[in-house]
Amino acid sequence: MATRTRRTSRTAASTATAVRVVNLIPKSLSYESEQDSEPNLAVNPAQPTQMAASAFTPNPLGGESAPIFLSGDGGRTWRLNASVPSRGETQDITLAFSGRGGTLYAGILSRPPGTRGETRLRILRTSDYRSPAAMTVLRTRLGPDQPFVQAVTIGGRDRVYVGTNDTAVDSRTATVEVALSAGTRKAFRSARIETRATDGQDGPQVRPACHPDGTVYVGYAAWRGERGDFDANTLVISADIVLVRDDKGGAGTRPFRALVDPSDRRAGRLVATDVSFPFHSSGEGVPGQQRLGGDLTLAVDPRSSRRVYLAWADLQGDVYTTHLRRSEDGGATWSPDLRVIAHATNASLAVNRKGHVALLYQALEGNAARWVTHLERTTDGSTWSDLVLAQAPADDPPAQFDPYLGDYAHVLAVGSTFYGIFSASNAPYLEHFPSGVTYQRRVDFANHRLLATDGSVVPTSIDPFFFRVAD
Amino acid sequence: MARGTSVPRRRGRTQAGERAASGAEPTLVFTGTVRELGAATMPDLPHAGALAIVRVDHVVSAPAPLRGLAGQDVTLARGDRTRWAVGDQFTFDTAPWVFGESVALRVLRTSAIAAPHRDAHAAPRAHADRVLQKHVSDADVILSGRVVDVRAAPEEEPPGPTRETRPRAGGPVAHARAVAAPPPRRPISEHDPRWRAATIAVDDVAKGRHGQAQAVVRFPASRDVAWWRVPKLKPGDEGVWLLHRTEPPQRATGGVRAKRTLRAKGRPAAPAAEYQLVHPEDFQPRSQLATVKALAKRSR
Repeated sequence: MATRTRRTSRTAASTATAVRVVNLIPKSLSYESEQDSEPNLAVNPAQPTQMAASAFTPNPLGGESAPIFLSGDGGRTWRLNASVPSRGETQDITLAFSGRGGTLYAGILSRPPGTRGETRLRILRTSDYRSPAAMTVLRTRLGPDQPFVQAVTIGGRDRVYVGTNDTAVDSRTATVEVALSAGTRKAFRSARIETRATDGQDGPQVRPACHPDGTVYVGYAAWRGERGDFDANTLVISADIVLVRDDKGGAGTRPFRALVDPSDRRAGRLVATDVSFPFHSSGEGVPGQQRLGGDLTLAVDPRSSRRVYLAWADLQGDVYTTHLRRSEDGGATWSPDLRVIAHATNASLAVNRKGHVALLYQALEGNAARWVTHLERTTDGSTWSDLVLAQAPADDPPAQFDPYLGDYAHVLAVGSTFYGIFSASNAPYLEHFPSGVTYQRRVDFANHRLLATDGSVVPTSIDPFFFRVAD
Repeated sequence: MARGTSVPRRRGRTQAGERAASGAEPTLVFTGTVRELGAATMPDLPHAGALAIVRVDHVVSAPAPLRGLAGQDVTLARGDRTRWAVGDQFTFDTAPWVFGESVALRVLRTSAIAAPHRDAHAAPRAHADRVLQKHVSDADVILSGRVVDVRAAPEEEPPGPTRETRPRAGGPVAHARAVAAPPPRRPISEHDPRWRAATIAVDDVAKGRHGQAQAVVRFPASRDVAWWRVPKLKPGDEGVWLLHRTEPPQRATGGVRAKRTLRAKGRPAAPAAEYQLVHPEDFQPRSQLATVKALAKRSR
């Protein structure tokens, strides 16, 4: 007979550091076995109990709207709210709250795509993140990829930055959609930030990070060469890792030109040159079922806009490897690698108000048997503590589509607390979650079964997991 | 369950334009009994009109997993002006709102209960029929037949000559020079559909006009999140295709390298596709032909 259990397990270590890990799938969707990958998270800095999260989660009933997850109690419980104007589900989606006022912004690739298969970027806004009404569409464009939204409130106005890899333009595709007062439909303009010739394009990650003093950084990979074949799943890109900066929020006619590289006097500091990374067309046959296509993340210290951290992934030999570096002078000069992590992807960085740094990543470990989700933290950049949030099987479930875990996970800081989200197998074994876990959906941990509300057994799938780590 | 949870009062005005944009369509139909007015099965639901707790007596139309809602209490946000009283029974046509500890739905229409429903499998079937009806209505042409060939779509044709690997030379300045004039190509993306063209030998036309014995249909080979649900065709597949006319292919995204591979295998591109598969429902088994024809007739 099926047993209804809802359990939380905490290790001594996790209790000491006040860790909370929660599976976001709500009880009423206990039957679901979708691949809820590529998660993102926003926490309202003015009211940190309010959160919004996203993943490749379809609307349970289909229809003309897609859902996001909402929490009003600090991430203890989550609900699915169908308020995103995208048919049934989204493609890529990221979320950010404004600095004040609780306005939620989203950058999505909406459905349906363009009539010729183009991606359809939408930038969205709602003043009430819990509202059932469709979010207001502020901007629509065909072609951009991987919209990554960040927001900050300065002088009572929301500044919103959406980094995209704009495949609608030729060659210099790194782009930021900028709004210095995001309350109106015509607030956004496209800033092209690539100043050099490329091997056809940049990206796919174009990641902004903003500071309350008006400083905005954007990091991206500039493609310089390639070998192999995309369709044969052998394409390898050679690239430079580039950082641009604007000290006035992206205002003016030539935005993001504040940081110049000494080698060619062009805007955009070359943080690392001649790196290479695979650009897979599919995760089929790739270890861990996860397609790879570069990683890039950055975070700015809230105490000083000159201190910025940047991480990316490249091939060291044939090992996909994450690197982390720091600049103390606004990106002009850079430390050597602070961290080098083999077999790691989906890196995400955050800096809290104490200046402590969190690095989230997912590493393929145990001879490619497990995806292990780590949160490493440091107070000084040299000594790191490692918190394992999940160590889930890499072959269960089999992938339904690409990407298996997502092309990103996410961590952010509000005050001194780190909040984040990752996707992993929901196979119900407590030992997969050494920092503890709570499932909202019905689960029988004793017998390692997921259960629908009627007690029938549900297959393993990829679920999004929220975490909160007090620092 | 938070039975009797108080409903928050609406504060302030809704932003202009926010509510008008919702294009939800009816997706869950059930008969139910009003249990409590001004209450919800979950706490802290935002204002969305008057709320009520309603017991689901019978699911009329829903995706298969949700037929388990029968016998459960749900929260309904009332979107119409029908007067409700505790104990009233209606057929509720609803759209999704919140899935949490319980389920909350928005009422689109309320009507008198027509007839009792007994068949446990009728609800998912009715839902599937409603979904299929919509796609039949949306399709430009509906054909049945057999796939006789699949190859790269003309959209995959590279606009420039095939390039060999260009290793980086020197520092950033020298390298910038080296790639100063790359041959034009479209950027590639992980969302690249990787278009393929299937030639179908047509044996019946269920909707629209198609005079030729064959039809060329474009479909995405990619299993990226953007495309994985769209049917992938292979030679020998037989069935019914709900087809959408294509637009000129010259600005289709990505796929340059896909063509290189196929070219190396000596497989030329197919003729330009007239039609395209868009939805998972656009390929139906041949056994569905009579149903599709009936739905097509109804949609005229």
